[in-house]
Amino acid sequence: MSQIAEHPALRLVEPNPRPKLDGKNWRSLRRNQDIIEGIGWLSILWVIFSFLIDGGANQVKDLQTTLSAIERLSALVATDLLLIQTLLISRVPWLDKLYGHDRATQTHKKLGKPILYLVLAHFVAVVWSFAILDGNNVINEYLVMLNTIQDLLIASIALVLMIVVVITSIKISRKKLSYEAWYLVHLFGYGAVMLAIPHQINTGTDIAGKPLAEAFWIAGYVFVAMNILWFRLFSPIVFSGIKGIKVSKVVRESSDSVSITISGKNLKSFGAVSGQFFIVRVITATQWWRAHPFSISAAPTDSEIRFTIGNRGDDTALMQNIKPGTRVILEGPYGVFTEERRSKGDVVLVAAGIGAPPIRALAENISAKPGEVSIIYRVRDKEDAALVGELQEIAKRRGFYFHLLDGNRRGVDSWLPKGKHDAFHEDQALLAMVPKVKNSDVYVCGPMAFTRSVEKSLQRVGVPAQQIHAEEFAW
Amino acid sequence: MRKSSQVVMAVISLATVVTGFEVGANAKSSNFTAGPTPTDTDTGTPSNSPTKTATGTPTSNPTPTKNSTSTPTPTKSTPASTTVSKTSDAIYYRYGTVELTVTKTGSQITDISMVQAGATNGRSSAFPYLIQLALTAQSGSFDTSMMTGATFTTDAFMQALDSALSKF
Repeated sequence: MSQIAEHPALRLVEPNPRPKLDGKNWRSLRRNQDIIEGIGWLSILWVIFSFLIDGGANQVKDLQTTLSAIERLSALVATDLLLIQTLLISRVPWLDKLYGHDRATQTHKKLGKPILYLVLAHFVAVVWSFAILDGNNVINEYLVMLNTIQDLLIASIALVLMIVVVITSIKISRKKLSYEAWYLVHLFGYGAVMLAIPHQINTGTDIAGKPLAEAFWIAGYVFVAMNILWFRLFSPIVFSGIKGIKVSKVVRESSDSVSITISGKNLKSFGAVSGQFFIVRVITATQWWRAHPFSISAAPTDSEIRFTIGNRGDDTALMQNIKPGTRVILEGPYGVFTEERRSKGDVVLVAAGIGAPPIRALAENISAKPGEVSIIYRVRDKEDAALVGELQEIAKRRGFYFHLLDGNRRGVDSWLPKGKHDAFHEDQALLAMVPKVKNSDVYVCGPMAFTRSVEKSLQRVGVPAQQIHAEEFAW
Repeated sequence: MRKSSQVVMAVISLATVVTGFEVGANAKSSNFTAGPTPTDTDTGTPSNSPTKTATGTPTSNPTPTKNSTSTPTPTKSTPASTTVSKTSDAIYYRYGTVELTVTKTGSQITDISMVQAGATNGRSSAFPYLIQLALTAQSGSFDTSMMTGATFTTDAFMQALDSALSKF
C-alpha cells in the first residue's frame, strides 16, 4: 500500500433520524442510574438493619462478643457486595445500558479487594471468637470447627479460591499472566461464590432458621444466577444458533488489522447500533472456550455485522487468519458509546489506531448535516492504518471535517504526533481543528494513554463531562 | 449519584441504622441467663423463634401422633405396658452432632438419652436441661423462651427429638 485506498463504491446506510437533543435523555439516564445505585445501597442497608434489629450491636460486651458481631456483619456485607460484584460483570443489558461495560467492569474490579478483606475479617473473627469461647488456641479451634461445623470445609475452600482470584487480578500479576490463564483462574470466582453458600444457609447466625433472611438471600442468589445464565450463556447460544451466524467475508485492512463480516438472518433483532461491540466467540476446536470483545466497524444491517480487529498478539492474532464459513456466537451488543448519549448538534469523533472501528461506524450513520461533524483520526502510518480510506470517503460524502494526524507521537502524554502541530499546545491544536468543541459531543476511542490525554485537553478547554464519551477496553 | 439522591440515601441510611439499633436494644435481653445451665453463652445467636430448625426443615408435627409412620404398633390399645425406644437421625449443627434415643412406654415419653451430645466446650451442659423440659412437656415442642442464647444447641436438640418421635 502506497496510497490511502479509495472507496468510491463504499455503500453507506441511511443516517439515523435526528435525535431529540433537549437533555431529557441525560436526565432520565441519571435518574435510572440513581435508582439502580439506590437499590444496591438499600440491599446493603437491609442486611445491616436485619443485623441490628436482631440485637447484633447490643450484644457487644467484651472481646468475644465484639468479634462475634464483626464476624456476622462482615459476612453479611461481604455476601451482599459479592452478589453485586458478580452481577456487575454479568454484562446484563439493563446494567450495560446505564453504565456501559467499562464502568461496570471498573466497579467490579474496585470491589474485589474490599470484599476479600471483609471475608478475611469474617474468617479471623469467627475462629478467634470461638477460640475464646472454648478456651482453645485459634489453630486448634479452627480444626475443631472444621470437624464439627457443617459445610465449613467447602467454605474454607471458597476462601482460598477467592484469595487466588484476587491475587491473580491485581495489576502486577495481570501483567505477567496471559489473558487466557487469568480468565481460567477467574472462573474460580464463581466456584468461590457457590461453595460459600451452604455454610451461610445452614449455619449462618443471621440466616439459618430465619425465613425472611433466608428468602432474601436465596432470592438474591437466584436473581444473579438467572441473569448470568440467561444473558451470558443461553441467550447468546440460542440466538446465534437461530440466526445461523457465520463469518462471510474477511478483508485485510492493514498489516495488523482485519475486517470480518458476520452474516446471518434477522440480525436487526440484536438491536445493535453504531459504536457498540459484541463479545465474539469463534467456534473452532481451539478457540471456542474464550471470547473476545470486538467493535462493530460499520453501521449494522439486518444481514451483516462487520468487525475490525487489530492484532494485539494474543488470540486476536488467530483472528487474522479466520476462515469464511466459521461459526461464531455473538454475545451482546454492549456499550453506551452510541448516538443515544448525544446531547448537542455538533459532534467530534476522535479515534486512534485500533479505536477506529466504532468511530467509523458512528460516522457512517450518525444524524448530521454537513459541517456538524469533525473526525480526528490519529495513526502512526497513514498508509498502513485500518479504515482510513473509508473514513475519508465518509467525510467527503457527508460533508464532515476530517483531520488525519499521522506520525510518531510527540511525547508520552500527548495525543498529537510530531510534525506540523509542533508549534501548538494540544489544547490550541484541538481548538484550531474544532473551534466549536466546547459545544459539541466528543466521542473518543483509542488506547488508554491516548484517550486520557484527549480527555485532559477536552476538560482544559472546558467541554462539560457529560459531553465527553469515551470507551475503554477494560478487561 | 446526584447530590439530591445522595442526601436522600444518607437520610434513609441514618434513619434505618438508628431504628435498627433501637429495635435491637429493646427486643433483646440476650444471653443464656435462665435455667440451671448458665455456662452456655452462645452470644452470636438470637433467642427468638425457638421452634425453627437450623436447616429449615419444617417442624410441623412434633406431637407424637401414635400411628404416624411405619410399624403399626400392635400395642395401641394396651396402656403403659410396652416400652419402645427409637433413635433419632444424627443432626449436624454449628457446634457438633446431636443424636438421641427416646424411650416411650405406651404414649408416655419416659426417657431421653443422648447418643451423641456434640457440642464444644461447655455447651453440652445445655442438654440435661433440654431433656428435662422435653420430659415435662411430653412433646417435641416446648417453650424454651427462658433459655436465651443457646439457640443453635436448642434447635439441634429439638430437631433430633422430632426425628426420633417421628419414628414411633
